Parts: sequence; C-alpha cells; structure tokens
Amino acid sequence: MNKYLIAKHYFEIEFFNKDYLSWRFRKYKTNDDKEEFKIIVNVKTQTLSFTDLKKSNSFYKGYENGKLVQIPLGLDGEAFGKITYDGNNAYVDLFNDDITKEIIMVQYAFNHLIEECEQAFLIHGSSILYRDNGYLFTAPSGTGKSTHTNLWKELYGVSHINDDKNTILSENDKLYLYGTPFSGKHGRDNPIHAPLKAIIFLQQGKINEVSRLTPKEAFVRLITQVVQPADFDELDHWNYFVDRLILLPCFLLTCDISYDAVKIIEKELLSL
Amino acid sequence: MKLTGNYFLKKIGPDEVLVPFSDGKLDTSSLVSLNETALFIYRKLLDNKSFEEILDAIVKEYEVEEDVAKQDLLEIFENFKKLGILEDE
Repeated sequence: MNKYLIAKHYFEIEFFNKDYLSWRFRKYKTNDDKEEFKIIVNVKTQTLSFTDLKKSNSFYKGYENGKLVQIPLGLDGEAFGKITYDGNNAYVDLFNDDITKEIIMVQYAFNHLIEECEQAFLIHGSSILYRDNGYLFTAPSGTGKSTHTNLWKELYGVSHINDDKNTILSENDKLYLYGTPFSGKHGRDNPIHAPLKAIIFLQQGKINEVSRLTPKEAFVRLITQVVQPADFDELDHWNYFVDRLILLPCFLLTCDISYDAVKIIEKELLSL
Repeated sequence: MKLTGNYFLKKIGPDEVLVPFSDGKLDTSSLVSLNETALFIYRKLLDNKSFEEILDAIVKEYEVEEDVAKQDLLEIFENFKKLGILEDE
C-alpha cells in the first residue's frame, strides 16, 4: 500500500488499478512514517440496503450495520459504487472495474475523511500559483478554464495548483487552495498550496473585458460550481465557505483564447 | 399557513435572499429577493408567529392603518404561497 501526503494529511491508499493510479498520484507519494487515513479499493457487485437514506445532488448517504455509507451517483443518476466509513478508514467498493470511477470514488473518500479534521470545501475550477498567491478560474464545464490557465503557464510559467476539483482549507479564518491529484482529464496539479486571493468567473466572448462582481453577483455564479449541501444539517458548513468566498475579490472575465485575455485580468489582480 | 421548509434565508453583503433548497438540491435559478416588508414578515414566520400576530407587529413597526397592513400581508402571503414558501397547515 502506498502512502501519500495530500492537503497536509497522510493517506495510505490501496488502489484496484494500481499501476496507473500510483503513477497518477506519484507527486504526492511520501516515505514519512506517519499513519492517518486508509482508503482501500475493491471491485465488488452487491445489493444495496440502507436506513436513513439521504440524497444530495451527487450521492446518497445512509447507514448500513451502523456504519456511514456513501453512494456516489453518475451523471445518469446510476450508483457506481459504495464507500463504507469505519473510523479513519474508507472501504471503497466499485461495482465495475473503471479507472475514472475509481478516481471519483477515492476523491469522495478523501473529501469525507479530510472534512473529519479540517474545515474543507470543494470547488470546481482551474487554479494557479502566481506571485505567491492562488487564483481560481471557474466556469461551467466546456467554457475554457484549462485553456485559459494554460495561457498563464505559457506566458509566465505559473504552476497549476489544481485543474478540476479544488480543495480549499480554512486556516485561521483564511482560505487556502491545496493541490490534490483530483484534477480532471489533463492531470494538471501539484503538491503545493497558496492563499486564495481572488476568484475569476470566465465566460466566452469576442472582446476581452473584465468587471468586478458584487457579492450577490458572485453568489449566483459560485453556487453552481461548489459542492452542494446534502441536507439542512450541512448548511452551516456550506454557508461558512460560501460567505467567505463571495467576500473575496471576484471578477467576471469575458474573453477569447489569447494572451491579451490573460493580461487584462492580470492587471486587475496585481492591483489588489 | 406555515413555512414549507423548502427555502433558507441567506445574507449576501447588504442583501438577503431566499434560496430554494429541497431534496438535497439547491435551485440556483430562482433565488427570491425580499423587500423590507417581506423580509420582516418572513422573519416573523420563522418565529412561528400567526397571521394575526404578524399583522399586529406590522401595524406597530410601520405605524400604518390595520386595513392597509392587512392588505399588504395578504398579498405577500399569496406571493409566498405561489413561490412554495408557505403552505396550508
């Protein structure tokens, strides 16, 4: 079983697809002799039975034999696996051998375990480290977040923190972006972290222009890009992060694919 | 009439809006902005106040005639009902 240091915490992970996923997680591998969490993946078809089942927008949560169970759902609403939590361990049962779904399941387990000990939150987007600060570019899938942040890399050699599911930790009431291996199809991520300085909402356009958003405008755009609460019990946690995120400097960048688009938002970010 | 529990009140900067939330899903397309009176009434509903108690509170808070306050309150209750914020007990 390999050990990884992800977002300040130690995870021993036994993958089912060991070769590919050990390679995919290689940047986070550590030889430190510390034990914290375990995630064990198997492929197992089974019948589901639960009590107190609750459904969020992307998973079911319930109890089986007194243990918390989570059932992630695909875009088609089909369950593709089950995660059983037992203390600091997560047992992931995939219903079919599928590498993409294995990464998603491990990510669910990671999120759950880290939230046991950290104020943590997940946000969809592409983030970069630029002049010691983290900047998050977010938008619906297909808008061109990765394309835009790649232009920053070409122009200034910045590092990606994460290119898909960004983990945000709250430390001393300040928000930090942490790199994790859960970074989407391009695998652009690094084991680095930085204070989150601003959020940039992207939309495609023929003319490059930028405007500062009010908290209300940012809220309306943000809530489609963050993990949603499963029930009213999770609202306090959700509100804690959403309230802090919308009070950060938030911009709307309408842009094409060009260095000019990078420079127009860079000017705003450097004036903060 | 009682609150359906399908919304939560969220303060966003200087604004307060009702966010639809039911079955573990936020409906981000239909946030409800409340004016001062509607917000006052919603807060009273959160405190489980009855129609008559809210009416009395409006008359005292805004120093208006009871007939005028009642008309406003009925209108807001009707709107709340249409939006699924309120339902019959």
